[in-house]
Amino acid sequence: MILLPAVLLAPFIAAALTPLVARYLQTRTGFWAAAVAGGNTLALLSLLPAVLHGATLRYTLPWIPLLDTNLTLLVDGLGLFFALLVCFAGCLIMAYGRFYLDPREDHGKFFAYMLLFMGSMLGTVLIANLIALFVFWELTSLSSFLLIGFWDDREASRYGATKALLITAGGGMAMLVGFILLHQVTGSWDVEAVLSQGPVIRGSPLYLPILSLVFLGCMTKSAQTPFHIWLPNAMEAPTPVSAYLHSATMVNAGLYLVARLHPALSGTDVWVYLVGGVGMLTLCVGGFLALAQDDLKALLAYSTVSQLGLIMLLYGLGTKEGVVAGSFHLMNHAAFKAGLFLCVGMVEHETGTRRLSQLGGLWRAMPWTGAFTLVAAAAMAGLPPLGGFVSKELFYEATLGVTLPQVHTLFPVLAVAASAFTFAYSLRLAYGVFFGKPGHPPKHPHEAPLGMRWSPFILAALNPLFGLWPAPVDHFLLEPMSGAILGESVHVHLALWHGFGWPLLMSAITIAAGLSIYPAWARIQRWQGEVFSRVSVDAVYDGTLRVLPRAGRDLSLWLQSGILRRYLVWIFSFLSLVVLSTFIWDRVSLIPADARSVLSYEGILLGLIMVTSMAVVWAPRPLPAVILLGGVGYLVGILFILLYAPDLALTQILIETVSLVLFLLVIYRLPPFIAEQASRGRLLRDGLLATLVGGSVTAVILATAGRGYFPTIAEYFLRESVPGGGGRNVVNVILIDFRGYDTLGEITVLAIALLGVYTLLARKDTR
Amino acid sequence: MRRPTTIIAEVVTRWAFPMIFLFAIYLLLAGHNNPGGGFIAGVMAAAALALEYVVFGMREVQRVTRSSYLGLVALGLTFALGTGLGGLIFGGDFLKSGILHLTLPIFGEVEIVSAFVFDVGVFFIVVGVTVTVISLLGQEAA
Repeated sequence: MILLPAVLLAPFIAAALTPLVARYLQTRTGFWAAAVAGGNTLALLSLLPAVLHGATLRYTLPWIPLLDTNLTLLVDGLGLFFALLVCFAGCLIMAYGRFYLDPREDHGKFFAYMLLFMGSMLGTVLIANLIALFVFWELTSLSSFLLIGFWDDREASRYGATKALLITAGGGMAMLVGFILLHQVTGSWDVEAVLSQGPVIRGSPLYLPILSLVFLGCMTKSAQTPFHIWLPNAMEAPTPVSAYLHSATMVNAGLYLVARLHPALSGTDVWVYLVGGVGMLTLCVGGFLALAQDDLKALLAYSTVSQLGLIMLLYGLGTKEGVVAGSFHLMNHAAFKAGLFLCVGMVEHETGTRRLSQLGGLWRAMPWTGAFTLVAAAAMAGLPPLGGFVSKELFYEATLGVTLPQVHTLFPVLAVAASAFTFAYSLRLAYGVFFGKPGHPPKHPHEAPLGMRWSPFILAALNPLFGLWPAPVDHFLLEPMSGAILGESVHVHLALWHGFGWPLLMSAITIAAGLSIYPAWARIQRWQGEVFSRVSVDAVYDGTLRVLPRAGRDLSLWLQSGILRRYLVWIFSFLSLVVLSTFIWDRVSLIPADARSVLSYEGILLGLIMVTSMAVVWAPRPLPAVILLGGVGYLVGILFILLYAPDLALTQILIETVSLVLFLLVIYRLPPFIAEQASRGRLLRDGLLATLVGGSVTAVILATAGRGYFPTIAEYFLRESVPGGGGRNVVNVILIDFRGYDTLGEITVLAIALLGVYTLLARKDTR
Repeated sequence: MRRPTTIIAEVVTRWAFPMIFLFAIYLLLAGHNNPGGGFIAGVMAAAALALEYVVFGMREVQRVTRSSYLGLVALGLTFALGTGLGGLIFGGDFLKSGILHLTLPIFGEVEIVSAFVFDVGVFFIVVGVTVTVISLLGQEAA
């Protein structure tokens, strides 16, 4: 299955090439990006027949074979659906983006980011290793950050980009912890292996932490209340980005993960309360907020929040009906919401504004855009004969099937209420822009260019297709997808007409209630404005962002005062504390294992070293102290010679020499030395600390010398040095061959440290 | 700018410097089988240059070496990484070393280890870093 890695790598390679391609294609770069996405769509479609036959396609790349960790690309119904969605929507939206973006903008940069996102998202939905999934997951956050901040000269763009990154990447961290716990319970990083151990996970005491941490990641990514606050600010991005990332694909990543882990984590009451409850809350909050927006994209953003909540709720029910309805609504939502965003983009492109208060009566000027918007908005409102109607009926049916005693009446009632709001804001969007009295937009409106109209046309046309002829969707997408989520084969038969029953009645109530809420939007807007001026989640976010850096700075200033002496006190006290407490706690013996008596000349040398060290402490000025310290170093070098370590001795003596020169140069630069009259208390403290440090190091040496706590590797080095490393100097062979990685790391650090020194000290006359 | 140094120091340094430097080269070449190696040789060469610097000043050091020390560091890193990549390409693993046996006219049987290139890289980096730091610290002192 070499096709799979090719599909995953193609967007990344294409993204890297895009800046080059953009030089030749200029403003037509969007077509190149769309072609990549289109090619990927076709490649993925070729896998569909196999998946329909129930096969799960895998491509395994050994990653860390020693740890039995592989990078597996996995294509089942769920992964294939999301991958197709990502590539298909990407193809349409990038083709549209070519017209949306001003010719003066940097097309190369924009489409490179878009392709980067596409690759990250494909990785998220295709990879079957939890760690790699996390990496791709965060990559989508990163590319979303780059895209929201595309117009980086705008304050609002930067704010929105940062907010989205902090919230989604922060949730990703929680998710990573959840994955690690999952690994501890199941012993595997592989998604399939994890999924096969559902009962083990649900029975584990770590079930609740795992569920809440992983779900936290899903909540932030899919903009669930109270983390929905980043999505409206993300609307500062160019509209194709909003359509692609923030309605059709990236925000669905959380839903994807919930669906992916459904077999392992669902089936408990907690699942329903947590996932379903959060979904329900988000559905209601999003709908309520959407109705009051003036900015069209903000309206769509809150509507997306609400619809994501709806799908989350359906997955959270944990029933077959819920999963089927959720999956079908996911498709519908991608179609109508991406279509609506593209339509709003055209309105903004042609009128110069997206404020509802400045728009109205555009139908005559922009009939095509109006028609697409009308169809897509009707699908969002859940009107027949569109796909949105079918999925809403399924949604009602699924909420009626809830059996948990506390919520079994609450859920259907809230479902109808939230859908009424959905109906009302859909009406406000379509009616407010294209009908009613004409507004006063900055530009004289006319229809968008033909090339721009294709993508929204295709997206809008999907809605009646899903509603009137759902059979291919059932068979080709929904059955394999639901089957993969539930872990069993599922038969789905969708139909526009469900017969008379509760769902139809609820639909009728929805429309009636929606019509009666609609006129009240202005009053709701005023009320929300009043409330949010006093309390809001955004205020919490902004406050945190104000307080945290200040607290961090204060803490660092306290710990790192800039006085070097104090640093040494911290470091040395901690060292002695750790060492000595271990010794006392574990009652380690201080009698060395293989002691021999000290030879006479060794004794003399050791005595000299001690005396010289003492002299360093009592030296009156820095210069003699440095020279005496060098003396200690040379004496230690002689000790190495006596102990048959020529390489060590050479190194020691050379290093002493060079550092002496460096020391002298540094002293030259220091301000004149002022003999400080240290107080008696501080002398006592320093002396005590010095004794403690010396004592702990001595204790460690005494306790470990010759004890053989670990099997020695020396034999191996001695044996392998000549055949393996081609050298008789084992020390050197270790340095440059056996542990070449270490050395490579060290010299790299050395070079980087030098760059630091250079920037600190260099003046213009230095070569 | 000349520093006040004695004539003895100058004469001794003029003789000692080439010898120390040669010895450093010897340590580098011999290091795989006898005491020595790239790191030790690098520090030794740096010590020689430091001596030159202390006695004659920075200008003399620059006259002797005629290279940018930062460039030396980059060169050393390139050598080390190149060895690693060479191992990856020819041996299948990053930093995997190869041994080549050659018979040369004068030297007879010679064994060349790919890790030697790595060692040369270490040598360059150590020399480059030390001398750069000395020259940076020294310029302000001067």
